[in-house]
Amino acid sequence: MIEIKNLSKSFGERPVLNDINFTFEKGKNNLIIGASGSGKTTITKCIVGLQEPNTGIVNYDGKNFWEMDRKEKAALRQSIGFLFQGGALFDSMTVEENVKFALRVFSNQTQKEMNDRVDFCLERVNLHGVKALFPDELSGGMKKRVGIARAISMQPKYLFCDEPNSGLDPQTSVVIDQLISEITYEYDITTVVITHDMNSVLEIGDNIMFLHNGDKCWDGSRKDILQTQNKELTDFIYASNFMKTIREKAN
Amino acid sequence: MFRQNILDEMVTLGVSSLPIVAIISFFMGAVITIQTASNTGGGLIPLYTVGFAVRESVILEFSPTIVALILVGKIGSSISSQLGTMRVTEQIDAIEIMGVNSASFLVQPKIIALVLLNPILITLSIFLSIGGGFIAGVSSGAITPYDYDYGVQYEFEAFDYYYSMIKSLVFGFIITSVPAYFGYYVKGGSVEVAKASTTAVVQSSIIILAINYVLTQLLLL
Repeated sequence: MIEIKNLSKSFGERPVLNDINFTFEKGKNNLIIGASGSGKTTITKCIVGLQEPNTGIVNYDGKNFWEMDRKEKAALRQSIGFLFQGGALFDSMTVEENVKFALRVFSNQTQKEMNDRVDFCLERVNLHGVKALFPDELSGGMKKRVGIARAISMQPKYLFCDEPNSGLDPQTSVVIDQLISEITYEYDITTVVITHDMNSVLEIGDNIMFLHNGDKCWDGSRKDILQTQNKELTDFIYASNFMKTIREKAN
Repeated sequence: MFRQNILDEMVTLGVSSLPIVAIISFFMGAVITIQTASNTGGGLIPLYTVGFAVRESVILEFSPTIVALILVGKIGSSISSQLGTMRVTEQIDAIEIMGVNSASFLVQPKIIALVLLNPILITLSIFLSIGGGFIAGVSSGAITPYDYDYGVQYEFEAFDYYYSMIKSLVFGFIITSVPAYFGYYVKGGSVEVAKASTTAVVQSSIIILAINYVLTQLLLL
């Protein structure tokens, strides 16, 4: 479980996050949604420690990240898996080397154990016969899968996915969403997905936080979101003609 | 894994630079020989001075400094653009999030590898330059093999070589660390990566020349 309390962040005079409180629950798909520039990426960077918040705390299972010493932070980060929006795969390494990277650095496993783990992770994300390929030889969906395989290689307790569907076709998006969801339930981990894709929200959103101009405007589950009367959220959800049509039909 | 990274960087940065270092050194020695010979003609200055001048200029100045400037162009731009690309494509963030100290992991092996290998490259460069001078001088008839050999060995002091090695250690550090700094802290996209690479090469070259002056004054005066 990850708990954020009174989290605020500004860049110079410009506030980006204003006093955010939220709990990302274990064993659930926790979604951070909002329009571009609403603070989704900044809040994620504050949570994983890439940016320090101005005020507030980030508790990982009760322990504040920003009060940990360097060793504790490094140890915690080994239990974090992160799927980047662009994949951020190491482009001079093969798929196998990418997935094996953290294992080589941190684990005391033998070569055979590491190879088995790589095979398992790639199998888990339904990738076959790509171990020797380089990232630029993969499709967008395959890159995301390799990113997920790399993120789960160290059996993380926390999984972060930054816009996992960006640049993917609708069918592949659904597959990636389902994969993230299955991994969350299967390994009982705390998953945080940053997205502005409404399909993902309705597909996997167990626990959703909506950010608007740096404020937490709404939170709830995917069941609640279509019933909401929150103006900012309804403007966001029904911005597209497709969603407007669904609402009209539903009404 | 850290040791393996150092060995990999030694191959990438050092061994792959051997051909360019060899070619430049050979022709550098050849040109110095012919120019010195053409300026000492007339019989007043003994012929062996050519070999002596080649040895002194190559060991003291040309091999450590010129080769360093060449390596900045080859290795420095490569380090800067590699790290810059990793930064803008979030690969460095990915390493950090895994709990790995990205600077130690990516930069330190490069610095250690070149600081260890640069003296070897410079030593090779010195031998090849003197060899190139010998071939050019003898084949052009500007100097006899005996005079050249005599000049190369004339009043040789080991300190000259140590001085050259001190320079090569310091330059090895600059060639890797300065471009690594510019690449590691780049912000933006591909244009900024290219700019960082150019800035890294220019700044490293200036630093090498300035440090060269300081070291020369400290060690020779």
